Amino acid sequence: MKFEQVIGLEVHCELKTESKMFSSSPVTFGKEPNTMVNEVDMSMPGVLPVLNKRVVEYAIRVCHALHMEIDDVLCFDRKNYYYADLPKGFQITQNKRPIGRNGYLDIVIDNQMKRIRIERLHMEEDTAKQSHYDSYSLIDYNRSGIPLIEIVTKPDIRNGKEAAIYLEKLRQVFIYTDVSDAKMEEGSMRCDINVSIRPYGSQELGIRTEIKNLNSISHVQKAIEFETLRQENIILHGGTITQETRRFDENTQQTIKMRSKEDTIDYKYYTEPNILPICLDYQWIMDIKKHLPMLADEREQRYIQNHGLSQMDAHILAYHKDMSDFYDDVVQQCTEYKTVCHWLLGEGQAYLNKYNLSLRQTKLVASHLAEMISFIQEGIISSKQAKIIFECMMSEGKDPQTIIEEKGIKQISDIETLTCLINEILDDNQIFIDNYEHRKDKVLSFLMGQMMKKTKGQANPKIAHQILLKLLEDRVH
Amino acid sequence: MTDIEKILKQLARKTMLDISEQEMPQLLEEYNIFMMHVKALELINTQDIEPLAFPYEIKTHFLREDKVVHMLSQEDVLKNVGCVQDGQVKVPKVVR
Repeated sequence: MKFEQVIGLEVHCELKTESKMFSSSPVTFGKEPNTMVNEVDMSMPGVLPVLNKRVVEYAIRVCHALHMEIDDVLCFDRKNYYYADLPKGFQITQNKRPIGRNGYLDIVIDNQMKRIRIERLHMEEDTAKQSHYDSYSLIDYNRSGIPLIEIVTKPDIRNGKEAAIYLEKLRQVFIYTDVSDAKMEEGSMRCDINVSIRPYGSQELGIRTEIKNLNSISHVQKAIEFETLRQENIILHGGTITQETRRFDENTQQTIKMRSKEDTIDYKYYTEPNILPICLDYQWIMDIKKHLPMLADEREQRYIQNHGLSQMDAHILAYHKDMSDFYDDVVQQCTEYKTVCHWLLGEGQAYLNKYNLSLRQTKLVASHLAEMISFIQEGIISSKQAKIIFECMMSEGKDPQTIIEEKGIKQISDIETLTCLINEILDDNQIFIDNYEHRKDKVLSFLMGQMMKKTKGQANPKIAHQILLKLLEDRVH
Repeated sequence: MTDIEKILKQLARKTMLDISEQEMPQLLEEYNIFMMHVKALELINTQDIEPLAFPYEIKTHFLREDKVVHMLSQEDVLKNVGCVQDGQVKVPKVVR
């Protein structure tokens, strides 16, 4: 029997606001434990939640980017559970009326476009961070109350690869709409997976299992692959799948049962009595849409159509927002689109990989790159010299003119100077001139080498080559 | 063990509370009193009545500006905590 996978994803994304969702303490990462909280986050008696405007703005941005219907009345609910990571004993979330419904995200898989429908987007508060040890757990409440959005797809995903592509694309939406840094490794983007299988052709949904809290895209893919095989095995051996919650174990690369359906917590959702329904201004919602930054797909198309970049280059460039932003800055000052792209994706990316940096962490300035490219075009520096200058611009932030002067790496293109230098070399190497007729290529290559040695690589190779050829021909004949 | 006792023990396990045999009779008594209140509530006819979450049917437009205004010192945060380790709250491990 052949099976088909049916997968739905729930993604949590932390929003990069200044302050928390319902309290005025700061949103931070990696700070001293329990120093970034106040009475509201610690659920001290008498505190009341007050919703942060920017949280709503960011949620609306993502709703627009995912083509969702937006509810202009905000309602919140209590999700009740008894656990140390939320001292209130409940989480404030949007259960009955999520801010966004019925959206979609188009992904490209094997050159085919596929639409992943999105059921809902809601806002909720994050819980405290727990570290588990052998016999105890430690709790840091700094994360308590950080705003989250949760995005739930319809069960439209059919395999791990599609899930990975969807997650990459969604991550890009968070980054391009500038609502989150969406770093899975730091937990600012997390994913739960619902997986079931059914015989090919069947329209019925099988019993699903939920895999909680995946923190990398490759783990998502591996968890789906393992869970599918596990379910197939059970069915092929005459068993039945039970509805349960599982987790992915990174060491064994397997999913492990956490709790069964009988142990499922009844969250007893009810309307949050401390937050009145909040009416949003329609014009504000539309203004947020109007000012939505250009998303990756649009940028990619612009690069192909207006800048003549290849599909591959445009795709890679748009994939990294900081690279794409930087490229846009450079091409404001230099319209050599392909050359700018070549430097960023070639030498630039290699430098970033070598030192494990992001572009923002380097000292490269857009106007410096534009200037360096114009120097190459004008023949002031060679491409080889440009590589040295480029690395220096990235590490030291100096402009190319300063680097050229400091390092003395200017290209010699002056015909008179070059002629004089070549004549000196020819005077010293009569034996090569005598051999020129028989071994033209070797002699030319040797003399060019001498020329580069004499000028410490500063001779413009194109011009020097032409002069050398002419002088050699003159001397031989 | 009665069915109610079984339910209470199951609930205690799920809510991670350690209920001893000595505590059980009192818990049962409290449970019965509570259920009487529930029964009294069930007598109220709520047909065609919409759930009401707020005493007044008003809506607001207010949203707080995104500004960091106030936080507590670690010392104050941990003042009421029974057991502290490395600036964190130490609790018994409850996950497998």
